Amino acid sequence: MATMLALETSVQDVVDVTTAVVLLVGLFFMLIGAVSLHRLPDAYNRLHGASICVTLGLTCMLVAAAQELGSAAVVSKALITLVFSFVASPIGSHLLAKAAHHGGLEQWEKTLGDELAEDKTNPSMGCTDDSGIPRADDVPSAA
Amino acid sequence: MNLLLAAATSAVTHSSEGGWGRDILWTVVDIGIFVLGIGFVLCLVRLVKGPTLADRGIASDLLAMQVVGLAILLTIRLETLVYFDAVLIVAILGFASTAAFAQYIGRRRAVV
Repeated sequence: MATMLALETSVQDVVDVTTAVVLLVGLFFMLIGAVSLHRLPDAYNRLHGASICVTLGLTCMLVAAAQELGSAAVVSKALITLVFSFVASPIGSHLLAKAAHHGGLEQWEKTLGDELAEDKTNPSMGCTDDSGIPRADDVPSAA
Repeated sequence: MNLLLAAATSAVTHSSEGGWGRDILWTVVDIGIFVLGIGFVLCLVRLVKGPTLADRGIASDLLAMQVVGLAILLTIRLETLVYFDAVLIVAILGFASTAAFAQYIGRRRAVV
């Protein structure tokens, strides 16, 4: 170990340490996302905390993997995963929040406003009560 | 016995001639496995305890993200591409499960 710490620095060492730093940042945000499930008061607020996991945590970890291995296969797969998760994560959060709102989930009492509920009462907004989500009882019968 | 241990160690460390940077990186990877384990436990607690269905959906989505992170850590540690294919697949499965969960909540018209 003493000979290892004689610090014969090579390029690979610099790459490894940089990867370690990026990986630590990604792990930090992963942990933040998991902790936010317990620290935030509301399902709507928890969605915000969970998005951090994808946008910062997963991005940093994928960058670390691409940097450490460095082959074209890793970089291209990391890029594909990154693009997919950046498209899919907001869509999933939006779907969950919309379904929860239509399901009547109460907001935290200190939330400032509920604009979707206001828009539903305003017919000129074209936002009906059922916007998009089919009810269980009006599934079109085959007749 | 000593020989067996040495063989096992060299199999795990992949016999790569790393300098001190490699030691730091693998220490970080070992820490990361514990960090993601804590994340698993937190997500599972919210999945079991979550007062509404939306909380459970968020927790299961986040659980998929932790699995993706674990696959990335394994890729870095073992220096093989075998586990990196799981990254994209688990990400797609996580999105599909979130979408299905949202449909379930929306059709149920209740969040509890």
